[in-house]
Amino acid sequence: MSRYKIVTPHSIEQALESLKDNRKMKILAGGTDLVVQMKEGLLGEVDILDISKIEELKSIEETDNGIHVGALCTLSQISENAEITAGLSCLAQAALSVGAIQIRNKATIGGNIMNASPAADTVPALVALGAKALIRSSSESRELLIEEVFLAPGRTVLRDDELLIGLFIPKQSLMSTATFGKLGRRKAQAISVANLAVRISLDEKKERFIETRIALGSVAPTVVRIRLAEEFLNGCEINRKSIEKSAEIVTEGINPITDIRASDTYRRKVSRALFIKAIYASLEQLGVDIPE
Amino acid sequence: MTYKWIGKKVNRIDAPGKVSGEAKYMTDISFPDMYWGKIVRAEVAHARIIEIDVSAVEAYPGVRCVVTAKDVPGVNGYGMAIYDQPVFAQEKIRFYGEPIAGIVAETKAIAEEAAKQIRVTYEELPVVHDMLQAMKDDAVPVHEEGNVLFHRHFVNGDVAASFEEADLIVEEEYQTSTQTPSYLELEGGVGIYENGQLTMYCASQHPDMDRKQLCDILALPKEKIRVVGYPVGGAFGGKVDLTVQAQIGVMAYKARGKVKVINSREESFSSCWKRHAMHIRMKTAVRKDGTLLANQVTFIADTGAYAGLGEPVVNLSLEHACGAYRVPNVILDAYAIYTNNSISSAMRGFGVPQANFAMESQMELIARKLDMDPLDLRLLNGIKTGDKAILGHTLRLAMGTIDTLEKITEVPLWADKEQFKCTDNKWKRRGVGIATSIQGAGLGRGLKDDAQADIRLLEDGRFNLCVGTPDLGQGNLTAFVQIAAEQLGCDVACLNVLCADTQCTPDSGATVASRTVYGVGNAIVSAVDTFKGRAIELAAEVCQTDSDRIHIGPAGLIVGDKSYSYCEIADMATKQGISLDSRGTFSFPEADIEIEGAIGLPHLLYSAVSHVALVEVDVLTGEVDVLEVACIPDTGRVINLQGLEAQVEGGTVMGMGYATMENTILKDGKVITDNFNTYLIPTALDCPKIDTYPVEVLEKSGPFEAKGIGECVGNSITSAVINGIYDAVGARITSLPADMERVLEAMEKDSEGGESCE
Repeated sequence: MSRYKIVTPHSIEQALESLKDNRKMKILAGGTDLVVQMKEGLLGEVDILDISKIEELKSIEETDNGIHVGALCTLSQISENAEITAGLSCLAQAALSVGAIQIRNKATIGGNIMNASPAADTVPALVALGAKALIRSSSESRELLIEEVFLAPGRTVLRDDELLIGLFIPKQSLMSTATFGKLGRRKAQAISVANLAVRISLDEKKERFIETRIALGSVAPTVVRIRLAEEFLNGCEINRKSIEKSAEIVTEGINPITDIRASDTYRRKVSRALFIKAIYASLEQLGVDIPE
Repeated sequence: MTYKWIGKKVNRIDAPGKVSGEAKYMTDISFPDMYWGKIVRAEVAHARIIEIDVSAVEAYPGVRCVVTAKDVPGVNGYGMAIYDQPVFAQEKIRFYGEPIAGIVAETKAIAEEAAKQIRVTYEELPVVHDMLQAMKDDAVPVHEEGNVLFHRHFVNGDVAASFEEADLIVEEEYQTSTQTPSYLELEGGVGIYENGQLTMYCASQHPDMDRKQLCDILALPKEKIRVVGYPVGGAFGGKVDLTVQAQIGVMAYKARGKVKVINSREESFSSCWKRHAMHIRMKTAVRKDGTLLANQVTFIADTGAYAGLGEPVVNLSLEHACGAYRVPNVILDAYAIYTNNSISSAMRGFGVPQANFAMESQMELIARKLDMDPLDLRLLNGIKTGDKAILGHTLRLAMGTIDTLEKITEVPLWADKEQFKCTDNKWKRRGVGIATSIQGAGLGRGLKDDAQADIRLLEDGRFNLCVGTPDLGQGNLTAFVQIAAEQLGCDVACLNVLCADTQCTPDSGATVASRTVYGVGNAIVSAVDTFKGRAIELAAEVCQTDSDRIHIGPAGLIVGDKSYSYCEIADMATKQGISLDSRGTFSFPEADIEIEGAIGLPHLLYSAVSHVALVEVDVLTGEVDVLEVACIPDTGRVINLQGLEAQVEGGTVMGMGYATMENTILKDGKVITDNFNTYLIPTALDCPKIDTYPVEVLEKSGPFEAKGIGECVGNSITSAVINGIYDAVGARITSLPADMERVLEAMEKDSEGGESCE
């Protein structure tokens, strides 16, 4: 393994100062992706900013209008948190589907986002829930919708001096639910062939979709939100035909590749399957029978 | 007959060390004054070597020496069957990852850095990656002699007439994948060459055979080489031939010191011995009552760049071409083909899993087409003691196929299968599949299959039991201790085991071919009997009494009304100046006929296993989930029930992985699934509930009437899963693995649509 200079700040301010002074830093949180790259010598000439000692980034706090999740919250922490499992089970499910227990005990939600893998499991869930990324540098703060963070595999819009400090997930409306689905090639330690999260909201009579969010991973260079399918569903009557039609739009909105895990054709088929299953499960959750 | 130790759940003798972490594997061994070695490997799959320039490396600070082909003191070649694989590539590179040079340095980091300085100039050749193309006359040759390493043609009976007579002919092609053994312990160890003597610490399935090959490579006599091969962190056939011992040996020889090498997992994936991918064509003739009349079978196996055990593996496929059934008329062809792919050789089952997958798939098709119960079809044709096997030899030892099949009717998974198949998940369908398998044990006719074992009384009254066959993790040493303790009449705690060290253990043969409990077990019984005779003789002389007044007690000898502990007996022997060390030997019985040109065929001793699998398939994605499995092994007398259960569970999961996910993918000869993130094996969460229902079809010639089981438990599960998928969704899988994408494709092609219980 190559040798690296490691800086270990104990506060957000210290971390941001380091990033301001040194533009060649890689950020180490849980290390489950970065340490592998360090061992394989894939990082080149960089210094390491080890943020894992910053306690203020490790909490989950409920506020009046949503939940704040610190960037260093581990996936285990998220999958076990009472507020998240109760109100945002979609995110808890996504976190629980990553790797295995050992990985989830170390891996952080901030890392899962900033690693910018198109297959990151928590990202579609966060997109579906309308989560925002809270970003800071020593001079400013900004907020972005999660789907606005990614440029390409491994690349985000964050500048060298910026740090993802956490997420804000808005309170979900009463008549809504979100469902996560993942297809891996085995039941644990599996990178997604495809993953998806769907959030649906219904009108008061439970007859129409009103606010839908659909996000898929591992089927395009970044996690994709399928706005065309969302727009189609919003206002649409709940029936098998509208679900089938929206599923078609979903498969048209993705751009999968063939790789070692699956072919592009298969990814299209399972994207449709994940979508249909998630919609059915969501409607069941809200106590809606699907008319023909 | 009631036994004190046989059939009991005796704890594994190696468990405490392995659980606590105290056990030292060969790759855990280190010495303060040792060097680190690094094997430099080819980064192309097929090339002619023009020059290997090591000058920059030799001058590299901290490098002790560099070795290439020209530093091999003896034969630059090895291989269990033929020495066709160079220790270091000389003229040609034939696979990606082939050793080209070895670097010996003061630290591992230096060795790895220095390795980058080697300059190899070569002329690249077209990569031969498709075995069917490689067979053709105009194919690029991997070896000068051509790409067909081996072809065996065998005919029995009148196949043409049977096809005329048949009411049904089922013809199908099958393709199996390349399975990697995936043992946890990487290949590696320490070689020491000091004072003209080589000691090799490296995990092994047969230290005596390793020594024989090292003698030839290093041009050293047997007395100058010691091989220590135990403990082993998994092998599954992959450590039966030399892994890195040859390269370590040459490095230590030139360095005149101690050299340690451990492969990386990526090196392991590119260079380890794997299970042959096979292309199988099968045409089966059946009468309308289900009686099998004839089978015409062709196996084409990709043996990769070097022979390994390609020939004996396809021979075994040929012997097991009709699974566990009586088929009077056969035409069989088996080919082993050279390619530039990674080498396939021995792996648990040794050619039988491929044949079993094809035959058990045929049986399922036949049952469907004749509208017969798949179990009835198997019972009708199942092979029995006294039958003629397909190669024409008489099966005179205990055959358990019918017993394991009959037991299926009592297994809840089968008896109540309609209930098990119900699910209220609207995206899932469930099916139950069965399959059965036999597996010949031992090396087969024409290959001397002898086992030796020693029993030595120690001063403190305990015994050393010495065997050359290592325990690879399957628990055979514990079975040996139970056999020895039962035969001696002593407590299992009175026995120490010395194992797999050529300096102090006899050649018991290899830990392969489900042979050790039967073969080495018999040698142990014989050693103990010899010991008892000698001890009685000694006591008779010392006590001046008749030997028939002396009996073996639980902790020593009883002479009339007086008893002597083994401690006292040891003392007696020392005083008399005699040794009570006893060696037992055993030779495997052989079949009544030989098959010309096919060394190792046929076998005489067979174990039998049947599997029932409850499988759930997702109709939208093709995901396959194996929910529950029942395994019915016939291993003769069960020596250790928890050991048998562990073998069943391990074999079942390995065979299930073969069915649903394991696949070594190569691109231009390079293994691209070169670690466990891409080469997928089942995790704990993927494992089904597994129940074991042993049937004991006793075999008189075995130790306490036991046979062997190590391989057979991994065979029929693969087909049981595939047949379960068929039952669930009507999709017929003819290529392994049945991964989700392939299953979905097959469902789209020939789905009949599963029945829902709603």
